[in-house]
Amino acid sequence: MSEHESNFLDLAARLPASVAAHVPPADLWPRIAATHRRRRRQRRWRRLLAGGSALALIVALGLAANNWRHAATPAIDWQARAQALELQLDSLPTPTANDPLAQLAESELAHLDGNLQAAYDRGAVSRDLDPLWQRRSELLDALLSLRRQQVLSSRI
Amino acid sequence: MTLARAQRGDMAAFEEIYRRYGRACFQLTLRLTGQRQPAEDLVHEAFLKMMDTIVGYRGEAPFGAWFKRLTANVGIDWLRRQRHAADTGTEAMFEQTAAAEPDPAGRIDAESLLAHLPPRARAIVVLHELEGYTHAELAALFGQSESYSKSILARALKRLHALAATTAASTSRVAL
Repeated sequence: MSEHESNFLDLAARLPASVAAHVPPADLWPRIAATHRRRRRQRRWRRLLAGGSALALIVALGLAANNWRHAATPAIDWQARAQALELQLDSLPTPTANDPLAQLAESELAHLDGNLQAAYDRGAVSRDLDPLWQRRSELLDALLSLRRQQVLSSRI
Repeated sequence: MTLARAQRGDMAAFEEIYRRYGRACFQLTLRLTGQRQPAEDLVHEAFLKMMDTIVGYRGEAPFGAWFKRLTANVGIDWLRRQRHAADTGTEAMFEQTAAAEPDPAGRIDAESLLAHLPPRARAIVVLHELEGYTHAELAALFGQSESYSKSILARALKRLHALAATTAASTSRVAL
């Protein structure tokens, strides 16, 4: 140990006593606590905002995926379906007695055919025609089902 | 118990830690800076940092030693932020802070002697001589080589010795 160092260590021995007389101000802890609370609040808000943004992103992605899935699903060709059902219906024997439900369906079918014709006449697009063809398919489906029941009953 | 509560963010536990370590923390920062206001600011900063990082304290070292190191790091960061202390060579650093005149009252006080050292030299003397840091540790803390801290320490001690000797001589003359 050099002379300089031993000299300083002698001096330093007195240092703790001189510094020990100093104490932090009484309001230091309240200031520290207030800053800590404020930062904690800010961090909490930032986390909430980040969480909210993440949630919004997830919802947006979910919606986008759902839209994509719907877009990717091939649309039903209601017109072709209705025509196929009509062919099936024609292949069945003509009923001997008229069923009231069948009469109701046939009546609506006639009305629907009128609407379809009117729509084609005014140059309607597929967005307007599709619901009409869909309804026609549903009615033909119902008629087909009734006609099959009648055929079955007549055999029994 | 207190530490476990503090790690859960309990403010009462932090206050208890402040009551136990606040004064020691302040005395260390006061030694490092030599000025009351920066010392208070550093205590403020050290406690905020401790409250943010205590969750990661695993008890590898006693809490007091861990917190003292954290405080020293905060002090060294402060020194780095001081423009006059940053990136200054050893010679230039000592030239910037003129050698002190002896205290006219002939008072020999280690604290007042340290006040005549450049900030970084003062920090190295305090950490090495009083806090027991090794040159390797100081080199890591300051981001410098070991020879850097050895060189600054030697220059600082030389200056302190000269100043103490001059002050002692003037005290003798006054006594005669």
